[in-house]
Amino acid sequence: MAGPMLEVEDLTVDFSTPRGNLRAVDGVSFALNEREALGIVGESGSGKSVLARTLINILAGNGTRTGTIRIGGRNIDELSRTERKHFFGVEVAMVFQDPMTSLNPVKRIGQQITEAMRYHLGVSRDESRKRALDLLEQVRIPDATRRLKQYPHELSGGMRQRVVIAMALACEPKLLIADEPTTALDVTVQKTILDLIDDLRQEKNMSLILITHDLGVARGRTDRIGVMYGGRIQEEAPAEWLFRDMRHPYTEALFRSIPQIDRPSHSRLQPIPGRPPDLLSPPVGCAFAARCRYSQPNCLEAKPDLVQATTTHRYACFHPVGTDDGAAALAANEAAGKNAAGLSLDEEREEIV
Amino acid sequence: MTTIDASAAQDLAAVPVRPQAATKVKKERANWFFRVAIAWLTLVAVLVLYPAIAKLFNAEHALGSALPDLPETWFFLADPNARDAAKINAGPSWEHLFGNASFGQDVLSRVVDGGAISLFVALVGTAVGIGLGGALGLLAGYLRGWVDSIVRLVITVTLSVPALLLVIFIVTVRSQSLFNVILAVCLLAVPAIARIVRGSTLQVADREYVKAAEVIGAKKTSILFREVLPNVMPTLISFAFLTTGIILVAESSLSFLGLSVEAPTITWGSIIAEGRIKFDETPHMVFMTALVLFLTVLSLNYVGDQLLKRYDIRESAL
Amino acid sequence: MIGIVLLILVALLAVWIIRTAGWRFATKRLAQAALILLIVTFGTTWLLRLSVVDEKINEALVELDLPAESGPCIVALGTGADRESVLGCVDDLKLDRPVYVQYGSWLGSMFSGDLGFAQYRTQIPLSKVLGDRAPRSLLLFVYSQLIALGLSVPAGVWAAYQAGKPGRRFPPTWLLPLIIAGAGALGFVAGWSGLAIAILAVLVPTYLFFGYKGGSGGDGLVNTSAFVILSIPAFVIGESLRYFFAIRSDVYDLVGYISPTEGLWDHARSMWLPSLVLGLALSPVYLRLLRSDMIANLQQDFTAVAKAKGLPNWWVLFRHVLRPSTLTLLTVAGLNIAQLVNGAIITEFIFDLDGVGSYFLEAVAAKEFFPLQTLVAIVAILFVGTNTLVDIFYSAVDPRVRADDEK
Repeated sequence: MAGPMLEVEDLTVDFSTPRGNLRAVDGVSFALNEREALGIVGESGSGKSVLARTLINILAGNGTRTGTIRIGGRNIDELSRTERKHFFGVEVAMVFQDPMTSLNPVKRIGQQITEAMRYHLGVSRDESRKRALDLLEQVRIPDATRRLKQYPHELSGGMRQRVVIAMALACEPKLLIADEPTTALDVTVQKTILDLIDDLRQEKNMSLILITHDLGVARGRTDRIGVMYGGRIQEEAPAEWLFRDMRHPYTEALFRSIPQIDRPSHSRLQPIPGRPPDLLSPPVGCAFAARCRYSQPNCLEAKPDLVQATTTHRYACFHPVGTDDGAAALAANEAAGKNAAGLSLDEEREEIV
Repeated sequence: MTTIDASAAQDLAAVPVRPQAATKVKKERANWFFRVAIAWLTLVAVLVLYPAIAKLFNAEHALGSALPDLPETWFFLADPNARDAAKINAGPSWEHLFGNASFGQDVLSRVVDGGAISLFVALVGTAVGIGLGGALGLLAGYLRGWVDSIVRLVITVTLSVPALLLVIFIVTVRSQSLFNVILAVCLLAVPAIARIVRGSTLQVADREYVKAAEVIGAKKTSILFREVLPNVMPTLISFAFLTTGIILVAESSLSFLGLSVEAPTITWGSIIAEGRIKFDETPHMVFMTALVLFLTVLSLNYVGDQLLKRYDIRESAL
Repeated sequence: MIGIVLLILVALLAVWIIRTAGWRFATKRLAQAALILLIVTFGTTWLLRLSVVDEKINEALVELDLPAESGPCIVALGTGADRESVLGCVDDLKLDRPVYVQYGSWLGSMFSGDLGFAQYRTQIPLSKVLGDRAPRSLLLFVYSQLIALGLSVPAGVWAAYQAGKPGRRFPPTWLLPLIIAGAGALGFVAGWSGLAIAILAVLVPTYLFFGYKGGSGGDGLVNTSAFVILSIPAFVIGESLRYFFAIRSDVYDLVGYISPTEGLWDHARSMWLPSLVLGLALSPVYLRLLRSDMIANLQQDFTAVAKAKGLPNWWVLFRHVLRPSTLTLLTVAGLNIAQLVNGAIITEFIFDLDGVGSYFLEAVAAKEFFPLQTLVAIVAILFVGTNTLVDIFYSAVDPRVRADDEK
């Protein structure tokens, strides 16, 4: 297949709400190759979940999208009706966040795994049952034959998530989107599920988009990481490169807020002060400027464009981290005790949000 | 163009923001219908209750003679029992907007007259229901214990027989008087409202501010009146409207079957029953009265429903 | 014969339900139910004694030199009855003994299957009358429920589906009074049929307009229609439809009940309009229940997951969302005996069907207190019985119900 697995060009998603227009995704563009894993990291409200739902075509009724999405080389807006019927769920599939609510409580597990197969691929009942058993084994659920007949409430959270993964893999998609697949699970279960997804991806040669708010989750399991904030991609780089050589202040702030094993013990975690932007009346300038340690007056006036620093690294910032310009901006702000938007940089101050 | 707040305040409003393009905010259309419903109800109430009030003014007792005389009915209405042989069973005309009845009486006047009884039953039933039923529900929901058990028992017992059945039974066994009809209706309204108020009270009593008041040591009656009741009130008021509608329908059904107050007293149901005898000749009697009944019930339901939606998280109880 | 089979089936079902739920809880509930029924039946028996006698009866009482409590018997036998028969009746029904004796005697005869007389004078047993008429009312129940569900389920599903989607906006408000005024004027000119046709002419295009890609406007239309129908009293629906279908035209023949044994087609012809009336009266409530449950379920994650699997909308609606949404609806529909009884009385009256409802009215007109009391008691037993069984069943399925009860 020629070309990347997934191409997103200038995707913008708006929602019309009673209080006005809400722009959840603002001109996002990226590409994903075959067998590549992309991590999309961002906090709630960054637009990552909306992005995922747009890619799997389950945008809510009051949402409108502009821009192009090409999956497997096909523009999804140019699909014919018959192609469209058997595209989503087959070429691209999604694993949802909360296993407790993702499964229909009144339907048996087996039914939920096989229905996509039978609808899209026309598989017979017996054949689909065989495949479902196979899938359950692949996601490492023991005693599969018994599980097929059970209802969701008879399974634990971790097992339910495995079933959700099996459901997603039922039609052998080429692109798998995992939207916070472990957020609703116990920490001990998280690792096993993430490892499972990783293994399966490699076995089946799928491309993966792993969406999370946790940088640590993305590390080590993705080839590239994109950081989203305020509906835009603020930085994108190969995974380890991002950690060693981050440029965007938001990425840096995220990094500083998670515990790191190589920091001295009892060192303070740095939460990011301030609140996410109000998407109903979004700021004119950079979305992160209000909370950014580096922000200068020009950050409030205009949005920085994504700059391709190297072939694989791009970011959108006027005063990036690790540059002279950035260092000077930070120094100036620290001297003044606040950033351009008036946010105090005093780390001792309690921020009541 | 940059508006930077130089103060040390955490005022993040300093960030310049793209203003919302002038978007159409969904207008509150419900308001309009609400006002129409209230207007209709006011019209009916005034139209129907005025003659009753006038009779009170003109009555021959101490109070009546102290008050000024009032014309007994509206100027455009005739005596509901005045017969006009020339116009028997006539359809609607400019003189008689609702047509004429089997002896030539003006149907419009009969509807206005009959409304008095129907509405009276509905209002009294609702008042007793809200008053007594509300009180019982509040006490049961707040005090719990044996009070609750007794109230629950009463509620379950009374509601174990279908409404119409019970009302007809009572009216038959006793007699078809206004008092008995109201009695029967109250017997239904009180437990129904008590159950709803009890449920609402249970919810409110569980809330933090009530518990806080208890912890402070306020007396139970004081808490009941000052914390619980005001929060149960919106539900109570919306159900007042809904119950009035329900009782109105119940009484009309009853008099339609001929089991409510007897002739010569007029009620809406009785006019409809009269009209249906020679239906092909007198459809106007049925339909005009039914229209008035329908509009009134609709308005009551609508107002009650809207109030419920506005103040109560529950979906409409209808 | 069929009755006995049904009774056995119900008993088996009851036993199974009780077993699943656990004896302790079931016994508690059944005891509660028994207590309630005791109070209700006692209440009705006692009410009999409070019956008011009018002048004629009073005269007869004085004439026959009998105490006031013999009143109901005189009513039952007629004022012309002689002293002996009245005394015989009083003794039979224990009216001269304390109320609990009267109740005990009544209870005793109930348990032995003796339901008393439908008409004291002719001594026709109540059980025979009920046996004859109950199937007719039952058929009316079944048909109306089917019609109500047939109307409310598609409309409810459709409305829930349209609720979130953008679509046609509801017409501007100032248009409505204009339309109503126009229809009214037309009615004045063209008569009732003309008015009906005018209303249809306005309504049908409106429904069609919103029916196609209605969106939230379509949902609003369904809601408004349900609300309007809800506000029309059942007897008004009945009389209006009777006028247009039976009097103004000949689509329906007012011949009363025709049994299925006399021909299925004739039976259908006699029953369709009354069932439609009752079904229409019941449907708004069902529609609201189903719609709100479906909207809640449509917002659940599992619906999004199903859509993400690429399943088409109709599949998701009917094979995923509908099933869990029908729970409340089925419970209410199944337990809706109260509404059905109310509706049966009125519908049987309007359409001249001789079922249990119209028997009730006949007994009322003839002031036959005793069969009335027994009938009320029977209905109460049915009602409380089914409610209790369903309660027990629910607790078997959902243990939280048991805990709730103990709160």
